Amino acid sequence: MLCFEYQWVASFEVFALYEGHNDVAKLPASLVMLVLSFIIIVGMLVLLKIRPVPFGAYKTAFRNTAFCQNYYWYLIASRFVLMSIMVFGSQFKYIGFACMLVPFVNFFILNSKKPYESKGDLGRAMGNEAITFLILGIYSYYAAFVHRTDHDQTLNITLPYIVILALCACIALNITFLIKTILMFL
Amino acid sequence: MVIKLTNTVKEINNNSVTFYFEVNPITDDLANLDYSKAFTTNFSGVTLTYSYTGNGKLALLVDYNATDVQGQGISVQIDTTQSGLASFEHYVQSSYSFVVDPDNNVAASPYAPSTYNQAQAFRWIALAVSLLFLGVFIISLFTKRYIGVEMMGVAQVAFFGLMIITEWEPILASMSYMSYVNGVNAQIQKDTYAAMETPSPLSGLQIDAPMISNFNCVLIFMLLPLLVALVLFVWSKVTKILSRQNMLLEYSKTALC
Repeated sequence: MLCFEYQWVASFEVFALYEGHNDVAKLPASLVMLVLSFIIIVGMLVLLKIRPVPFGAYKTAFRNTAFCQNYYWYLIASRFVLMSIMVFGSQFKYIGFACMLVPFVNFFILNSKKPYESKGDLGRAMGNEAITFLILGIYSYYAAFVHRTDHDQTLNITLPYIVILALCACIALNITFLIKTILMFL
Repeated sequence: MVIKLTNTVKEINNNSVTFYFEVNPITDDLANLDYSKAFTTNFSGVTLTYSYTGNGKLALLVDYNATDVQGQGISVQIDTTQSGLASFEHYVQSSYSFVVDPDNNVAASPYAPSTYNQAQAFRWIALAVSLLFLGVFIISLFTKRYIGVEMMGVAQVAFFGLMIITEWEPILASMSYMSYVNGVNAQIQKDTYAAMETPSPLSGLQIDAPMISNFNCVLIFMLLPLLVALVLFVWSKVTKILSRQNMLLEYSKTALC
């Protein structure tokens, strides 16, 4: 469910903003989808609080303080805010810089609150936020300063490759921890 | 005769852009009309190719090599009496104006062939990276799920973040091939020639206004664990062996969360 949060928020907000009732047949189906997905998401959030045991690592990987135990509520809220800024502000040239605030704040919250039990997990999560910040920085630069005819400048050609390299670094960072976990099981 | 622009698509592999029009009134003779004679435009330095696809749908392919047509105001003069077909003799002249602004958010500017070659390679790279993300996510489902969830968030921001950029150049547009990191959704569109209801940075990412267009197969995927949990729960209540009851109940909770 958490994995599709960005997709859900984007779909929901775009539906609310741009649905022009051009296709009447899709409206009731969209509303049913919205209600159903909303029930699932809220249900999961409530269960995470009142029945934490079956959620396993979503709870046990975090320190035993109120904030750390509810860290995923914070993460879900921050993802909601980031996607909302993107959808509502996509028409504004400099909105990318506002988007960058979200991973920036997340990074400092991770650093100050240290919600994870393991230092490795904390470093991994901070690495993910740093990569998100970098990618949004590159997109913000493109949106604000690169005209469509300036694409052939060396820096502008290189930046998409940096995005891909950053994503590969993200995979490497996370898979290292997964392999460590698998080896521990074995 | 009246025309209306319904969709503009910049081809991702070459310097051409296709305009899709709705033509009214719809008659059988529309297929026989020579549109290059009947339509006059203020495009210059470009090659125009008209193709009528039936049911009042007309596609105009504009090949440009040196001209930057992005943002250009285009005026089309329609005079079907020039066609020589008797059924169009009594039609009055009309005109239609529009601005070149592709709905797939790729700028209709001239790019070098090397840029298109790079973009093509980049599409494969973006696709491979997105599949790699999915692979690692699937592995994480059997170990530490939160690692997969947090990792996928980065890839999803890299995909959705493209919506803050207007007028992608071809290499950047190739990043939109990472859509698999959001799961798979079936395109639900009655008219394949019609543009989406959303602004071009969103429609370039295939995000349409109706929720059902963006969140259909994924919702089924979200419901699947709940259904499995329900089946296991019911099974645990039906079975009479105590050890199996507890095991099924545990599996049911795991599937749910």
